[in-house]
Amino acid sequence: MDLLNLDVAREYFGVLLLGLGVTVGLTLSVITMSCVIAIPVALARMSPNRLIRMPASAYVEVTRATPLLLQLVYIYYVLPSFGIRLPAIAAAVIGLTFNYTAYMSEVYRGGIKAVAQGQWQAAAALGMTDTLAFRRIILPQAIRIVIPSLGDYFISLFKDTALCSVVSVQELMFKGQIISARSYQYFTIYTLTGILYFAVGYPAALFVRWLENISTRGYSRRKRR
Amino acid sequence: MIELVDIHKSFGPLEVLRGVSLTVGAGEVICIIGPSGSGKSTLLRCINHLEHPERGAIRIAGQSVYYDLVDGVRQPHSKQRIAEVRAKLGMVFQSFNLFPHLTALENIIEAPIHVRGMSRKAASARALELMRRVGLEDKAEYYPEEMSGGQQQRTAIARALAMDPTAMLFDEPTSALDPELVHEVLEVMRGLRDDGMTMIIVTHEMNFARQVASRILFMDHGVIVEEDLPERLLGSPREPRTRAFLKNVLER
Ligand SMILES: Nc1ncnc2c1ncn2[C@@H]1O[C@H](COP(=O)(O)OP(=O)(O)O)[C@@H](O)[C@H]1O
Ligand SMILES: [Mg+2]
Repeated sequence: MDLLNLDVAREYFGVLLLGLGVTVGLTLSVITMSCVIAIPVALARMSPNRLIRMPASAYVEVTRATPLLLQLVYIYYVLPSFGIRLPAIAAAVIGLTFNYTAYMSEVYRGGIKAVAQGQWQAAAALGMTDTLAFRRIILPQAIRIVIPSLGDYFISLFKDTALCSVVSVQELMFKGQIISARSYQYFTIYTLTGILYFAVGYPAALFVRWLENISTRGYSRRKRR
Repeated sequence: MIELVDIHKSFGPLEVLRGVSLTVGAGEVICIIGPSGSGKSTLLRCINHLEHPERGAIRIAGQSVYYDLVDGVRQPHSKQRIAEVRAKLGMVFQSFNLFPHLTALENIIEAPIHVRGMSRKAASARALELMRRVGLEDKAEYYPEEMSGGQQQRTAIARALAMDPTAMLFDEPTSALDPELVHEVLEVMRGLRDDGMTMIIVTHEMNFARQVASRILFMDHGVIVEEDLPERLLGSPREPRTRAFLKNVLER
């Protein structure tokens, strides 16, 4: 069995770090876009208008009932047959966003429903239109409710980016695979890869837990002084 | 001022309002009493269109609101127009319904700023004045959950007053309060009466109704059974149903 080879580790550390950069970049861009796009999708799913609700529901159901890996492969390898050719990184961003938006729209939907009906009524009674009430009264409370769940998706997305290696995105997992195959130093390289994932993933998880604590603390004056 | 003509409202097969007509003059205080489920809340909520009656007309200051009758067919007004009417009718709910993510002051200035387009500065100044009026001048920075029920309800009243309503609707404003907090809310409402505010109040506080009401209505099963001056309705009701209800309430 190979033991940890420090020379190899040192030699490839920089390359893996580049991969980690791509992983983090991918995670941040996808989570940002999903967090935003999921809101209109959630609203579409709750629309009283069937022509709006049905396509949104179809999208969410299909996406949640098929593997993310298949969706990524589909976008990268199948769409070109229809003349849609995307660079690997674009395919990855689109595929992940497509997938995570579906899940997160469900989270928002739950959050929006969880805001008490009386809030809509109080807003309406003050002369607010539905749009204004949603933006100023309902959404801020819904976001607070969904933060813990969104945080969990954030962490899971960070790890799911590894799947993008199959569409040749140069993220951390992909780099690890290439280098270990080339150098035959599987133990060293994959251990190092794991350490790098952990080095980012663990603090991120702590951050999410902190956010969770804040968001469930209730609304009260921040302790000044 | 406010005129309801033959209001009908059903929830599915359940007829909750079965032809209610009511005229409220400017500065009048109408108290509505009646057993639970008799349609009091629904009636109040029809007035600011939180419920949509199937039949009947509502006029405010002589203007038909929420619908126009065109060749015998009801044409709903635009959402914007409905919102404008609502903004002029203050509503106070049994469960306060303050916005929990906003401080007391922010609750009060929210609609003046975002519905009326007032400046934050002017809205805040006015809000502080209203908070003083309801006895909460030191609670501006408090969040609803940091306040007692009575303080929350007084904040809710200030929030409604901030839109300069022409009338106020109260749906059992003290029913969710601990007994020792009821008084502070009723005092604020008494103050509004003294200032000439037009009010429609659904309440179980018979003594309060006796003291402030211009008229008391007794509702049962979706109709106004009896309507009279407070002393007369509470003292010598004509209808057996009113008598039975009052006997029940006053014995408790
Ligand atoms: N949104 C609703 N859907 C179905 N039934 C309702 C709804 N709101 C009220 N009701 C019913 O209508 C009746 C009258 O309710 P309500 O106006 O709240 O009475 P009150 O305020 O006098 O207690 C009750 O039987 C109640 O269950
Ligand atoms: Mg009621």
